[in-house]
Amino acid sequence: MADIVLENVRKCYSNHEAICDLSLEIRDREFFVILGESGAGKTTTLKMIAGVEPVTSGAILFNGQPIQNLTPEERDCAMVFETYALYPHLSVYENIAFPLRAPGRRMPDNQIDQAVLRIARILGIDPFLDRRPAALSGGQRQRVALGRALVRQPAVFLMDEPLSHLDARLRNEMRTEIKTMRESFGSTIVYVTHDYSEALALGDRMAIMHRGRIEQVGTPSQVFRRPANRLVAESLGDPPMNFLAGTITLDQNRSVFTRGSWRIPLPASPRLRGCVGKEVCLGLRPQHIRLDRARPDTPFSLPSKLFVQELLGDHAVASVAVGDRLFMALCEADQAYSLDELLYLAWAPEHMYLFLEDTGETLLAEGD
Amino acid sequence: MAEIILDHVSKRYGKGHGPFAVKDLSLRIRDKEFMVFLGPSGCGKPSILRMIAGLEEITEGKLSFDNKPVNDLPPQARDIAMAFENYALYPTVAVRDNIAFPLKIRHWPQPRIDEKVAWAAKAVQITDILHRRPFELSGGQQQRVSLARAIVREPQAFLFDEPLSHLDMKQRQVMRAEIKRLYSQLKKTMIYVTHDQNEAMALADRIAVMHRAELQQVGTPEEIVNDPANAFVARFVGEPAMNFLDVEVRMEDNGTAWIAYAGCLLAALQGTLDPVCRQVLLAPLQVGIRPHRIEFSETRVHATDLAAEVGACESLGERGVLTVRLQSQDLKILTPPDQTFRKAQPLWIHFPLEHMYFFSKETGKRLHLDSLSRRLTL
Repeated sequence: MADIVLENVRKCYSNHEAICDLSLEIRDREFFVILGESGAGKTTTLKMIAGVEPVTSGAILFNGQPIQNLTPEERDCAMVFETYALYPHLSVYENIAFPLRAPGRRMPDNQIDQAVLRIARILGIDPFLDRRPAALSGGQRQRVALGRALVRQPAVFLMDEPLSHLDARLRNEMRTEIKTMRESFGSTIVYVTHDYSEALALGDRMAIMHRGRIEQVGTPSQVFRRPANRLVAESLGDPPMNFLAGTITLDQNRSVFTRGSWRIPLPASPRLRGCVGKEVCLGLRPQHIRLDRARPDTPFSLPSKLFVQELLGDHAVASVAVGDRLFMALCEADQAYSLDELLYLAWAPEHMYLFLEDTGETLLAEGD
Repeated sequence: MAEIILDHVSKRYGKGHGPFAVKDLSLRIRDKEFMVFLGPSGCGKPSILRMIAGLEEITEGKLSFDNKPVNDLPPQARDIAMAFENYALYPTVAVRDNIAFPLKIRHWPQPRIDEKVAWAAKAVQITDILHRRPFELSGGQQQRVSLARAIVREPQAFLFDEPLSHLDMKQRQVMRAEIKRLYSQLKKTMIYVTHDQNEAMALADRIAVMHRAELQQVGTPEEIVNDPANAFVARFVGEPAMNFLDVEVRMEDNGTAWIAYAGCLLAALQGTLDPVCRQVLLAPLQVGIRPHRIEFSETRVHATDLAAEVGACESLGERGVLTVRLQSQDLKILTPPDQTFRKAQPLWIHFPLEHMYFFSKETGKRLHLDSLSRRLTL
């Protein structure tokens, strides 16, 4: 039970700044996800919260109390890493009980027994308590590692890519497990991942990190529908959002997106009016694009040529060349197009995104 | 080379006495076909490629190209190119020379070489980096160079061993599209190994699903998804995976078979049950259903609806995954992205009969109950 506040936290290594002026409020008992590519500073942030990495400047507070001077043990954090690091010579039971037998906070045996059984039941590993880690599958081992971290009911639970080395199927199963179990945790959870679907599925709120900075904080739905900038938009979605560079111009006193001879009308807004002449980037998600053989009766459309079409079971992905850019669009599995066929992309105006080319700042998002 | 035919081919390591890497594989790969071997790691996929390439001896069985046995033909005489998972480029030699290498060692005349290198570079869109060296290139660019080197001498068949597994998600998607495009232009036989079902679906004319050294099923992507031969294939392909339920069957003398899960009626099959069918239905049975085929509602619609409870509800941007608890078992259901559910909310679940698959619990084999005249009698 703790809220966590990071105030202007910086972390410098000898020759570069890993974390630049990071401020963040994580609420009590919140499931908070930090999403970013490798090298974004996610793990460093987690380690600073755990106390295994000192901050260069700034403050970290738990429940309003600064904790920089507390040792990792005093902070009441538990951490689960990507590699599970179980003791191979101990049974599952002893692995989970281990933190409760630590010198200085040793529990009586009957309490240890209760705590281990409780957590093993939540995680569904109670049938394997006598086994050694070597006799378990990858997913079962990961659950034991979770159990060991959770058994002493820490105030703060830190998870560093706990699922990333599991195969896709197991990863999705464990993701659901974590989601289902979280209510029985009672801890504030900070979860680090590079997998956007984990972040969307698990987080109450999430932060997108890039090169030591936070690009946006919000609920999964907020960041997915209303990304603060192009970088955030690009990092959520598979296949990712498609982009097309152009400029905003005025046409009969209305602002339009222009690229060569193509014109796409933009909604009338003072903000877009103020951007006339600026270089921008149009964004469309693959699932919002419709493909038509005939020129559709809408100005929200672009001509393209089929590059290739891939069938994926219940749907298909068409890659189409829009000028010199390759766009991906989801389409029906039974719709077959031929190579280099002329196709029109069409979309509903409310699904159009627009970003400033230089800063990436969002000018137009879903629902604007 | 018209066809590549594997006739009862087996591979065992340890001087031919070790465990099977490939067991009794018979398969006819058609001329100009894109064949994908799909399976989890350790199922023998790379050994198949290496035997076809001639890099690995065949323990038992016959491999023929165009009806000519090639078991003993050396790799360089097979007219096959292999694109490896690690690109194996010469890091300090210019891209142009890396691509030209297979032609140089065959002593092609220089003007021919230049012409072919230019063609291959254009096909994979690396014309502008021919003067650079591989160590200066990104992973995706290196992959393209490796592809160009494989296609440059236009062999009769291409072998790909997990060529995209090194790349990040975005690059993987682009390269997948490039390979598919290249195939539609070259129209040569392609044999491709992967553990990624999306890759297999996207690329293949036909997929051969492997498990524990044995071929489970071969068919078009559509057949593999809609008509799986056994429970392994059904479970392995599709994300989230197909749901499985242990069911009980009760048979009546008038030919009706009642199928129930934990005491609740799921479906009734009616028709003339021949003795074989009766026998099949008496053994323990599993029902499979895909997550996007399960119907759900807050009120009871069908007599065969099952009562369930919401466990977790995950929104993944484009779609949602709902986990419901049915008795003691979890089921996954695909939902529209915006639909929300309360935890522990009761829900009625319906399995449409036409989307149910039946498997033998013991052997995993698919049971085609379609031979019965099926219909819901309730």
